[in-house]
Amino acid sequence: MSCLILGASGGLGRALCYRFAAARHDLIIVSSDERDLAAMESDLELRFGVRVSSVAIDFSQELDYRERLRAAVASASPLRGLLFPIGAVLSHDEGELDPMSAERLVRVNFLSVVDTVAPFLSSLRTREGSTIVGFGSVAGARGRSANVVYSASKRALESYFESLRHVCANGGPLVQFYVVGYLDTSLSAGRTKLFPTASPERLANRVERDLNHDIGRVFFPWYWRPICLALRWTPWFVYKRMQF
Amino acid sequence: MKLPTPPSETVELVSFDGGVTATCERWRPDRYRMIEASGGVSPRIARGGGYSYAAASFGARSLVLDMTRFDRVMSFDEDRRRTEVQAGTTLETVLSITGPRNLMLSVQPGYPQITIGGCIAANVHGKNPFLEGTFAHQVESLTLFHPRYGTLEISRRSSPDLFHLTCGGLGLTGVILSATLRLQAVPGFSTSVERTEIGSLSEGLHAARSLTEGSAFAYTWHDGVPHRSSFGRGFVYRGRITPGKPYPTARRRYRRIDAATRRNFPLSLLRDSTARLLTWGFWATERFKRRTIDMPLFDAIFPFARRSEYFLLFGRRGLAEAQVIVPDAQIEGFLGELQALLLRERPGSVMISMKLFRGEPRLLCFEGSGVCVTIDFARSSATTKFLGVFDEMCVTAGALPNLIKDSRIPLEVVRRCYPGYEEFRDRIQTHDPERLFRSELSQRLGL
Repeated sequence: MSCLILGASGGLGRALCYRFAAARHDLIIVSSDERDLAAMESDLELRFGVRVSSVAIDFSQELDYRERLRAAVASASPLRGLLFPIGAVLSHDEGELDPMSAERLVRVNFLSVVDTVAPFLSSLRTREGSTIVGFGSVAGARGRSANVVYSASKRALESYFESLRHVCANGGPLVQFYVVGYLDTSLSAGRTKLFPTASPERLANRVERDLNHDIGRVFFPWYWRPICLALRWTPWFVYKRMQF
Repeated sequence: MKLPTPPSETVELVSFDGGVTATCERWRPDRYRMIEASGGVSPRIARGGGYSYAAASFGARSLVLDMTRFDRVMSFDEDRRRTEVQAGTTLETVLSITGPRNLMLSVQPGYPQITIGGCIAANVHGKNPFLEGTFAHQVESLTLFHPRYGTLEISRRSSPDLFHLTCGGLGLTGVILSATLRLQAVPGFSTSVERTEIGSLSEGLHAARSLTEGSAFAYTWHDGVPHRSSFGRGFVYRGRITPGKPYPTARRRYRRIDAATRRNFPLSLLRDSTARLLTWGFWATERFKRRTIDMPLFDAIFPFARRSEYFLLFGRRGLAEAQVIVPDAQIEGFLGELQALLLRERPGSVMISMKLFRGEPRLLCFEGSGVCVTIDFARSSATTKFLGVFDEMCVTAGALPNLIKDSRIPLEVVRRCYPGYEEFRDRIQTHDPERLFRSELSQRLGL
């Protein structure tokens, strides 16, 4: 059985690849840079003896990638999981993004997932034990003055997964959604953080462990659940003064 | 989409010997385009596992590019006995891929978490440099990134000058991204280690000379605590690979230690009387072991994986190590003088080790023919004072000090000991006129 992982080469995506390969899953890995993918492909095959194929897609630029994904999945062992640890941020995403940059952010963070789920959903519905896993962000808990479009995309993604879970409620793949707090990745290094970073490897372990469980929406680490709840309940006159 | 350049994080880094500490900006790229995004004109230096005793991978207000996430095995060709790995790949990972096919790197330094990029930049040596040379000998080609030139594919044939400048170039030619390495067939993964007791440094020298040929390795260990009755006694260890034993599917775990965790134990237990007691304890324990011991090849290649406690015993303040290649013609006199000096000055020396070395000195590589003498000290003001005198001894004897094993070696000593110093400095200046790649070590050596 194979898993398709979008956003495979960095941070959480990479941790998921290694965890799933260690658990003997064949992989179809998708990322934007062929060089990273080639290195990962051979590394995963050599270390774990699994079959790995890769597709280089820059979701921010390309629109026509469905056929390439289909072809990659068709040549792999039966698809068992779709995992979407994909995401991108822009440092100047503070409410004044030009339309092209905003569209690209939405493409990477939201539409890439929607576009990838659609062609495979019908086959996954007929396959016992299949799972679709999405990864949101605590940034989507409540809009704020930083990462404006990114947060909106992640909130859209959360809503999409809620719907998807409903679609698949009466027979179909399990649909899981992780709301992820700060992770210790290259992109988070050096940024001011209010809470400690969690290891992407720990999250990858958790995802692999719970792959067959109907867990719905999960916060990782757990303490982000009350934090996000508190953020949502914070009265506007207080919230508007908060800087984070 | 172009990734935004992530901010760096501020960290305190320390050389493995504890001698140099600096607060640095660190960046941990895990994708090619992140390295490429590190353009600009600010100084930077690549860092691997951080096991260099000198501050070769940080300092001089340089951005530290931590390459440990660049650790993928890119290819492995069993028939051609080649593997291509990214620079942050550890020796342990390479062995775990090649070992099951009875192949391995012939030259490996003593700790499995050392990265390939670090091995190349420092041109390290292994257990038997007399027979196998240094790490550069097994590097076939490498890719190097420098903002001025982009990504360069370099090999012995296509660009010999830059290749030889990079192997042993202390990371000053650019960021090593990956390397293609030659592998050697290994008949088995068990080693028979024979121990012979010796009473003095000169006895150890003769034993090492007679045992090195025909062995996988031969080195000596001597009690280095400056006390007349026990100084110099020790053992010579001779290892031979036992054919037939397959690569183990499971291995005993070992303690992970790095430059930061090495300082976890606050006090030094290798001082004066405790050093004498512990060294005696080691000597006595070894003495009562069987003369020939079979051990996994992993333990023989990476002795410090099983003995990492040794480094903890030096405490927070750390250790100082002097490692020099002394020409054969000078070694007898050098050892006599060293013994007299240690017993007279009584610095915090703990142990002395010797092995034979063979090679041609070039640029700033620790390579030459003679006897490699290593002395470990507990770090103290007496040690620093002693090492000043030791430097002069080395210059007089024409010895070559190992730059990455000594975090304090002064420029003047390097200039006098390394005939290739000026050439190295000039070639680095030509290759990188803006001097983008800098470390505390390069600054100290005026590079």
